[in-house]
Amino acid sequence: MDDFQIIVGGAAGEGSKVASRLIAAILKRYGYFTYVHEDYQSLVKGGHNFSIIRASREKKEFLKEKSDFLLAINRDTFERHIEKLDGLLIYNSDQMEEEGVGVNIQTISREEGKPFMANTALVAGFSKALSIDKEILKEEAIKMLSLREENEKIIERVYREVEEKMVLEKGEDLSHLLLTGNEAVSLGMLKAGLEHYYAYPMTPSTGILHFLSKVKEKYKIKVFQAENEIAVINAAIGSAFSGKRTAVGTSGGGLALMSEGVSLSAISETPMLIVEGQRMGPATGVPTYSGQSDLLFSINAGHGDFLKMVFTPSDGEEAFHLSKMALNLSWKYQMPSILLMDRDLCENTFSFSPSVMEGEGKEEEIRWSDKGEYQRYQITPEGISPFLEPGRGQVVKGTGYEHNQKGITTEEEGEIKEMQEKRIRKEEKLKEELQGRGLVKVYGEGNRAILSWGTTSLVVREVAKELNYKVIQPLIFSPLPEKELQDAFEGVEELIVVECNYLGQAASLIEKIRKVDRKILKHSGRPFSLEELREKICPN
Amino acid sequence: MSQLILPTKNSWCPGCGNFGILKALEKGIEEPDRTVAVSGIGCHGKIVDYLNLSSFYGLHGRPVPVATGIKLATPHLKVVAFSGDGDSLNEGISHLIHAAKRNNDITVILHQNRNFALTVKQFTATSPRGFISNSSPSGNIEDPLNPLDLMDASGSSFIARGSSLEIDHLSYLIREAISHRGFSFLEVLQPCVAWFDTTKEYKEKTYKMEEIPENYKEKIKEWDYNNGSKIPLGIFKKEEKETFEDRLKSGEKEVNLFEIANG
Repeated sequence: MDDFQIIVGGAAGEGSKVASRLIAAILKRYGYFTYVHEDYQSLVKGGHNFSIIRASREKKEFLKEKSDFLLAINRDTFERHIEKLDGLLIYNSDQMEEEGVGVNIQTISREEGKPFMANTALVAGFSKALSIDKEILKEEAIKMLSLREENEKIIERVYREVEEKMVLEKGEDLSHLLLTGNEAVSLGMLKAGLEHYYAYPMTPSTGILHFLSKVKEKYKIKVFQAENEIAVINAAIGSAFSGKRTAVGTSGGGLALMSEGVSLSAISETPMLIVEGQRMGPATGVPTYSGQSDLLFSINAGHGDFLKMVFTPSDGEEAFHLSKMALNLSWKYQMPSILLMDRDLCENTFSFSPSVMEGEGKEEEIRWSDKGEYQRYQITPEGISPFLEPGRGQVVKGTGYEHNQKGITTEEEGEIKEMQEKRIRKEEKLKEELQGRGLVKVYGEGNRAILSWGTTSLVVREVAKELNYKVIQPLIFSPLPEKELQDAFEGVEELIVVECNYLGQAASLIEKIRKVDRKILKHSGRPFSLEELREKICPN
Repeated sequence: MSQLILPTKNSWCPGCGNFGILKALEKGIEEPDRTVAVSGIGCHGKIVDYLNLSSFYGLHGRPVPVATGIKLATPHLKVVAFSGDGDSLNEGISHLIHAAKRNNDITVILHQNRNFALTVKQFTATSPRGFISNSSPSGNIEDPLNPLDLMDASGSSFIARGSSLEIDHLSYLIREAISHRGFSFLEVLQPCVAWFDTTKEYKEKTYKMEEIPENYKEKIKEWDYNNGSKIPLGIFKKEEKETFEDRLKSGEKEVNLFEIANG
């Protein structure tokens, strides 16, 4: 089996997510790349949660319609997903009797360990059915779970009672890491020298707050959970003004609250990275499901005329690279940037090559080194005023009012005009720099192309390969990479835009450059599956 | 740094209470090189343009979180947030409550003129009942809030009230507030000569407490911003308490992304 898919499900609190992470860890030892898609509801106990694990010898970070294995912690999982199974069922035989591999996971976990460890028993049932090395399972379980002895006893008993059904061939142990997008973003920001992280909890970016809170001592960073998003962005501006590389994380609703602060970051030229994990809006919307409907909002958030960068990664590795780039460039250009994630990218687990983390990390900002009197908003040809924080023997005045070079409020016509032009002038150098960073990815060639962005582009790439389409994937939408897009559109006669929103937001931006022939949109909170997208592109 | 006051053209009304506060700062700010000022929006906010200090002129209602962030970034500096009643008792009241609760080591100087002055007279959270303004032409139908009482309930470790008419006393309070470790709340009563000239009332009714009163909770409630009672000035509360910054521990920096990623 070079490529298969597993569904693991149960009620919230029954540990299906942990089970899926454990399976991913075992499969990694067997030489598989894994992509774990999480589907859960906005509740703490009960309901139905499931994970879909895509395992493949080559990296595939998207889902197919049918799964090859279904692991049902409860009967509800079986009923909900049996239609999508084209393969082997591994189920809780304390609750039902079906064709497949039944494991008394409740009885076994109660007798050998604790009742809540039924998920370990189910994973063990799966492992034995696939003849997976018991020692490998134990090693990974010990790494991931507490109560070592109980877990080992459960595994031993399941391995005694369950029969082998097939043999999963072991490939070379891959050295890749399994990271959620939130973890990848955290690491990218740390690589770029993140010093402070501020947030108010909001799905789906809360994982960044959790991860950084866990590692804050190791990295000597400060993590601050403020009273609301307005406090978050303003405190972050205070810290960045004081020379600390600071980032904040939220979702669409939080960005809405932060918007005045985004504008303040721009006029005060205070570097700022905002990580925005999109979920389905409007308003509270569908909080634990994904969407791509905050693109235009992110580009436009904040009143007044100003520059902002909006980056759109599609997977863990891009999330790492672009969070690093966004923080670095925010500091180089002293302006706000948004890393636009989505629920699937934030919370799903990606295989991540450690080599991605090598190479350059922090890029230094332009700092003031002159003698004489410091002017925070010194007019320069490129528009960038050398940075200095307070406490260095100079008076440093930052402000949200229009101001003169010193940072004192002005209402003089000439000064207003001059300062606004200075800020916007950065665009020229910025665009030049962005052009050198490969921010429009192109896969394949030909006169038919699909443009997509974010996690949607992962499945698009696969379908395009099958159907012989060229794929164009922008990693930045603000400033719009017009030149790179024009180059990519060269020779393209038919352009399809695929994205997960109702209005075709990226398409509306692309239409400034060229005609969009067709839009394929989805707005149900769920990603396109391979088969679904293939059918939409080429209806039979 | 030589002079504290910059020669910037001043745009406060002649006779504005803010001049008294500015004057009091000359003797109140003891370490200008190690002080960062923050302000919100309103007449009070202009003060950062007149001070030869590093400063950040923030949004309406938000000087307290900006000050919080500056202090987290540069704990060795003194951070003073200037704010107004409209700024931090209306627009940004949540920040004031939470910064007091956390005991952030910052000082808030609240310019209390009891109306929105820069937007030409509307009622604020501390305007008295019956206050005639452009948004309450028949008189304010709301009762005022007692910010000192709120700060006490929120856990502020330093609470004081001064008056822009008592400059030397105010300088003393500013020094005390800034040197206090922890969250310091200093309210400064300030007549608004344009819209709410309380000069006569404050001259008649304010009195200075010689020391921190034992029954400070009662003293805080003596004047309810509505009644005609006496108005105590001075320090109501001063409590030694661990600051937020003390508690926010951080360890040694080592860059090993691989190890972290592997959990």
